[in-house]
Amino acid sequence: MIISVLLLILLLVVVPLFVGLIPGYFIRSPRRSLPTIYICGFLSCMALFQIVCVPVVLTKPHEFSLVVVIYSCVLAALSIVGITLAVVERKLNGNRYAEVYKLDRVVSKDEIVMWILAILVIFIQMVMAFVTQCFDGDDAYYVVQSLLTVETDTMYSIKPYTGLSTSLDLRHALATMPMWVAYLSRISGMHPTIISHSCLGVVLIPLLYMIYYQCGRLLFRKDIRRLPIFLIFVSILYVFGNVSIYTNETFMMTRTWQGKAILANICILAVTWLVLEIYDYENEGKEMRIGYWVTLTVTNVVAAMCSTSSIFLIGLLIGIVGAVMTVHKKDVQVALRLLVTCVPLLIYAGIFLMV
Amino acid sequence: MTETLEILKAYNGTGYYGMLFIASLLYLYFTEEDTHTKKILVIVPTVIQILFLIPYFYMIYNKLDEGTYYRLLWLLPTTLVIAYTACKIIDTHTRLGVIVMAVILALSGTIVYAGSNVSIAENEYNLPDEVIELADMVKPDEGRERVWAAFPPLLVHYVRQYTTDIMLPFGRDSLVDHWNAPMNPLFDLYMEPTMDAAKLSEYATKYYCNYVIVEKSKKVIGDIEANNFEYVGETANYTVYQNMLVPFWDDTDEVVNFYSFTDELYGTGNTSEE
Repeated sequence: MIISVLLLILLLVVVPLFVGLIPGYFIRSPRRSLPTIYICGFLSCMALFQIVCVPVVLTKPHEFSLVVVIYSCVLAALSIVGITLAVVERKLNGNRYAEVYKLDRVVSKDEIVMWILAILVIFIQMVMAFVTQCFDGDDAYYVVQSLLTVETDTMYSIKPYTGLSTSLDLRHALATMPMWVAYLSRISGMHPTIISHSCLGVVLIPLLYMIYYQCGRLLFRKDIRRLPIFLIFVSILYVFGNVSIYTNETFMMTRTWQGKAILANICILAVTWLVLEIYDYENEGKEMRIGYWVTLTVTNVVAAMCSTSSIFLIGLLIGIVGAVMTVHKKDVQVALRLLVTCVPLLIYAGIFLMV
Repeated sequence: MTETLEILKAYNGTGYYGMLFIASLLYLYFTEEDTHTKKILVIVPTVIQILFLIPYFYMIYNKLDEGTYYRLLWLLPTTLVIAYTACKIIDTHTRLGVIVMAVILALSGTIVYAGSNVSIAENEYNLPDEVIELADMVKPDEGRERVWAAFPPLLVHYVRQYTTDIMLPFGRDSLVDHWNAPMNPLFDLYMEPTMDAAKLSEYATKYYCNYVIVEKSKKVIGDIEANNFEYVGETANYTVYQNMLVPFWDDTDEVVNFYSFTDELYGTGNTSEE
């Protein structure tokens, strides 16, 4: 069990940090913080899985082991590239990461208390994700699909509800989130149901708050002391957001491990954060925005991995942002650049319509 | 318009976050100084909400993905905007402001951990202990092929999350009306308030079930054990019986088509082996 947990930490914490050093290389310090690296890395790792898995699902649905081998090699190679980039940059420019955490102001007692409270309420949510169980009927599909893949090495070829064989279920097959859970299970040796229900919440909840932290850093740059208060309010809105079964907060807190919850919370929020960064006045005209553009494209791939409906949803969101910013800046290139980030969504829509 | 308003109403449910969000958008519209932030956090969500309410847009969306129109509301940065506005409103009145605002936000919603579908986990799988107990009784021994077992409809969601070595004659798809799962008399029998033991034997055999699990509270007509079943064990609420008329997958030399019933269930073309 300890080895399984260590392997999960390697896959869900260490490797994303290494891979995140690649897009992080293209993000200007001081924006390049540890959460930025981790968010970019985590999203990149998931997107890579989608890119590796979909072609195998479509051509060799009975060879999940092939996905495991290819994806593991890709992760290892990109981790090495990320570490190399960081080492080279450190030699050339010194430690740029240390700058981010330099405190050039006096921190008040109140602020320290607020930070402790903010971290505490997030930690409580992680603990609750681990110690509570939430009934959700959709698990009879998604979680069982992961388990079937681990046990039979096939992908989307067996009906999860009963165990009967079936033809390739394309609507679900293009969204490979259950296969990603199967991969984590295959490498760590932990049961996919335990990974889904007990482990993923502990990782995805902090990831969500890291993205809110990034948004808060931008919004409160003139008075950064409000950042912990902002995170406390976000936490309250999530914990008390169960006003109906439909809200993104309810999805996040009760079915964290499902693609729909990751789409509704992490992907859509990441898009908002990235467009805030891209159009931020301090970043205007700077070459180092490329890291955000790449991450936005990567986020679109992750959205497709989470749910086929994301093709429309994320496309619509980016389309509206593009239209509003084009009118605002009176520059059609804004919309065209944003359209380029949607190319992965168009490709998956094309596959869905053609196959 | 009525339908979209109904969806909006259902989405906002019992809380006031929808109203707080609109109020926050208005507040930010008049107070936000950064034009880019204003465009992304105020104008974009406003456009999304207008689109959401347009009936033609609803009709087009429904053609793409019926029944999930509420997901369009996921695009609204509700939490981000409300939390940001709350921070701006409390301004420098940190201590009192945080407490007052936290109370307002909490009272405007419903705590997720008090939900009827949330409870303290009984095991690391986050599945009911009783399901694991039942599954352990019927799952095939090491080195054996899988088994077919009929579980009461309330449990079919969980069983295969624990082990896929147990195959089910009916699953979650039978429970959801609009999924139009094929007729299944065994499922119908389980859904009836009373269960006829002779019919249970007939259908369980027809569907090649090695085991049946019966609720203790279910009124049974006739004696189950007198109808070719053998008692295996029980939990607090269920009893497990082995169907003596159906051989185990790897215990028979006869050429038995274990998938013959699938024609009745799913039509032709789904009868290949796993």
